[in-house]
Amino acid sequence: MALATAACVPAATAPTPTTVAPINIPSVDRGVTSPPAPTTAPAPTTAPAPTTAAPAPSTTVPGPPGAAPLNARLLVDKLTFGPKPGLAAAIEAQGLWTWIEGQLDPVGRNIVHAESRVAGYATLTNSHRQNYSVQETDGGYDRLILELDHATMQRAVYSDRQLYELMCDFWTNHFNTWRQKTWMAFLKNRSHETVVRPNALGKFSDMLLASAQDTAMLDYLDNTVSDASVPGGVNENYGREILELHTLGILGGVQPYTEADVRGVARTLSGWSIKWEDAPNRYGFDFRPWMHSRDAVSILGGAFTSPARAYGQGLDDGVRLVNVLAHHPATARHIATKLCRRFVSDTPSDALVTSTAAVFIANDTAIVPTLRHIFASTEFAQSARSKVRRPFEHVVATLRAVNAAVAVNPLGEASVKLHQLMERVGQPLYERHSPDGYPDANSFWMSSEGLLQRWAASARITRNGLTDNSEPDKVVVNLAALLPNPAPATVAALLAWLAENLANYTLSAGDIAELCTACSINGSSAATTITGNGNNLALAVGLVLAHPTFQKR
Amino acid sequence: MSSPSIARSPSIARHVGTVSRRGFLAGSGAFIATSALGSKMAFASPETPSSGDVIVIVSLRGGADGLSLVAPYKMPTYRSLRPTIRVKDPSEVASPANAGLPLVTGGNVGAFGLSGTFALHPGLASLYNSAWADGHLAIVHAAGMPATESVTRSHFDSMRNWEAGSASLNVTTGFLSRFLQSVGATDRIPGIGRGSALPPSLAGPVPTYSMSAINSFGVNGFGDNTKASATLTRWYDAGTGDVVLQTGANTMSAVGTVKAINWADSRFAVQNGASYPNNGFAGQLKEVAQLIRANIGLRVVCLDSGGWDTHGDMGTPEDPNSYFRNRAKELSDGLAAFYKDLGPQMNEVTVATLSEFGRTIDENGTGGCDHGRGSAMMIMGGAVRGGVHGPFVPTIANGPEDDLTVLTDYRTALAEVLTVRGGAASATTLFPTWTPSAALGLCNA
Repeated sequence: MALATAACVPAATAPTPTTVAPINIPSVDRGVTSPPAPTTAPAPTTAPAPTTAAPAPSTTVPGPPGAAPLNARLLVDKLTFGPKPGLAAAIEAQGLWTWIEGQLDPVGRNIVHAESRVAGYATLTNSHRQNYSVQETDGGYDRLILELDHATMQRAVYSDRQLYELMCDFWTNHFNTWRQKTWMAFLKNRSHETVVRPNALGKFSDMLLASAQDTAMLDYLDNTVSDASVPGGVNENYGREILELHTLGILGGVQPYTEADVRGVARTLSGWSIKWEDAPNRYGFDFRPWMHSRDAVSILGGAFTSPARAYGQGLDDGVRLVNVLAHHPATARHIATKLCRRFVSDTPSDALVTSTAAVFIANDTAIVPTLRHIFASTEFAQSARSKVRRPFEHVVATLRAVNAAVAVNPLGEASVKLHQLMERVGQPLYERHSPDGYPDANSFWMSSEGLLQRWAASARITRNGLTDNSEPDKVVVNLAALLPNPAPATVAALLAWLAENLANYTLSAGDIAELCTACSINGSSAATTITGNGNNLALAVGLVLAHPTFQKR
Repeated sequence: MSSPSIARSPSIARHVGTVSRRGFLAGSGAFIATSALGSKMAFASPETPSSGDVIVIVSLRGGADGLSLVAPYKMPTYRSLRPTIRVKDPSEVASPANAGLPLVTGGNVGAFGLSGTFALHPGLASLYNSAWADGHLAIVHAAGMPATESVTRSHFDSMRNWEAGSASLNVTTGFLSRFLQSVGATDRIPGIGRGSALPPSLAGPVPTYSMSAINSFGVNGFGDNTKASATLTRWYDAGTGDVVLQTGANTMSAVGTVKAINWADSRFAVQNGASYPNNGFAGQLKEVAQLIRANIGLRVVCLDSGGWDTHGDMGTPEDPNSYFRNRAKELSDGLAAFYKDLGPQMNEVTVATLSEFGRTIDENGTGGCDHGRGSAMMIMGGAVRGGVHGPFVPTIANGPEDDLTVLTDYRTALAEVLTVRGGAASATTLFPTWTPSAALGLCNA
């Protein structure tokens, strides 16, 4: 814990890692490059040995003291949406912890971003009021949906801030709202850009308050209509879910709060609503004092109390309550458990959860030191392939593995087809109806339909079958361009190369032989048997991506 | 490059700026029904020889308001606590079609103790006029998880408990998986969850399957799906205990079973003049009927009906366009079409609805009601004895938590269905923490 506390303080004098080779991705922009990446300076004697003999840059960052040895393959699988050509080698060349610390930089300095690809998506930067107008225009509803979905896809596939994008996905699910529950779907785009993205590697307490004043959330969980001036008018929906899902949680069937606590939170947050009157911040957050309960509240065993208030007061009480919830020990344990499930396994050890929760508390709910603690743990180092890729992760991993070119037009064929594909694979973006977000458990995602659909998804993408060839905005894959020159000599060697270099795993000789038998190919024949025929190559790559190993991260 | 095998989407110009603003979303990813070809024929029995009913579990997700679905509509406290959203007596509304549908003895419904106490929501008219009138719809009111075992009002904790059949965290499999195991139904495709994921109630040692649609259940998307299937069958070999390998192996086996069937055969057409509404829930039920007719070893099907978490804006029952009435109508019309489609085959099918909890008695200030405890279960089938079964209170009272107290353990109703109709020898193995209780008399042996 002490180490993580120290590590979260940026060392202003740390040298800029000038030797870091930029990862070669076309058509993407640079992040802010002026300030150096904040790096840590723990005792060098405890740095783990590099895992390869790749020439280590002189600026290589050592891991935290006692950090378990890692390897690039694990980092690609765990801390990114999936391999892409050359990524593992680039991580090795940088030094593993240099790369990790770069990923942990909350603003992504010296990393290639993907924001230029979504720069024209106006609904991401519009005010709520402007997005309301978009929704009211012909086609505006689709535009709102597709711009957010396609931005998410573009960022996940092309941004080199991979850990940041993973965390945006994590927090999007943690603070899930279903945009189509009410007529106010337009609230979601601004919500995503102002609640999740600025805070995904920031402080949990900041994100919780942003969420509690997020009108998409308040609308979704009925707080906008919670009205203490009406008998029985205090709606407990948001009060319950902020306790159960966003903060204290229910772990192992133990509910660390009472029904009276739920009602107390609901009363304290009553009047947290929407600015309905016409104004620049229309549809943004508004405290409506006439709807607010002014009764005295004492909840959570006295952890939060407020006296009876005069009319017009009470907003500060809610802010104070949110802060109490963010820093509650049960919240730390809940968040630590979810983060460990995300990055380690469905069943992280009690010791890891406990120590992670302690880091979270000791760092005033800062997310970066909490993550760093997990990544330095032995359990993380030993967690290879412990998690089933969720469908979104599988689709993005496929697009990255085959270096797909996904057209940026949010209303184009590629965007629409990927939106529909996410429905077919069972994880339509931002369409989880219930406030718990998409589950993070292997058993939930491993089902017959789930497997068939994810196999089909990567097969279609690989053979350029996802988008209509007559449309201008396609998903294009050029498999031949991915092959090494000279190509491996035999079919068997080629298949091994594809798995190793595109999909980040080793395809066993036995599995190669089985593929060859099933596809009536002689494994020792010339590799041109496959490379000389587009259909054969697409089938081979599609199968490499359908292999059991690629279904896990 | 080979041409894509998937249906081509309309160009963006066709789904932007046309029809309703949700047109594009409604069209994408929608349920795809198989075409019903051929003329009606004599039905095939669900399984020959039959060893027990096919049990269809419909989960009303979100906490369905049992006091609206099956309303104690004459009770003074019901009327006073629910001034707006209550189901009205026929004398209170202009059109009888918008009033409650009284549950009384009559037609083929035999005598029952609570006759005259309740009315069905007007949105349930199609069920009222079919399964209820035939004496094949049973109601168990104030059903739920008893407070002695769990009082949670969390959707997620409660659903976990319901689907496990226990609030004990030591119970890690689903109650339907234990049911399949207990009746030895492990052959071919004994259990199906309709959707992309497997419901937790089916999770366990018996291979069960998620299936969104019959015609897409297979290896698709590869240029040569036959070669791909052959490879995947070899790669996904079971026996290691790995969840991915095991799921893949089971999936390839089930795909073989489904692909071997000629689904265009006339025996899979909708029968008996039934007509399914055009919505996802009804589309799922239509395929469930086809799967029942396919003789694939099917014993359990799970499907979901969503949108029941009505904290606000339920609307009034007498308004045909109100939110809750539309939810009730979708549920009812889908089940009524299924009932008519299967016709005499309903003698070997039992449908039960579940919801994680009911809702508070008191109407809240936003035209809805909050998380409560007891709700109403509906059980439908050819061997079901119509009526309202189990106890109810003479006066519903607004207690400290505004709840309808649980009077019947939901597992008491399920235990009877799964033993008497499902063929399980013992219900205590299905529900290890349930306190056994006398059967309610829901169904004939």
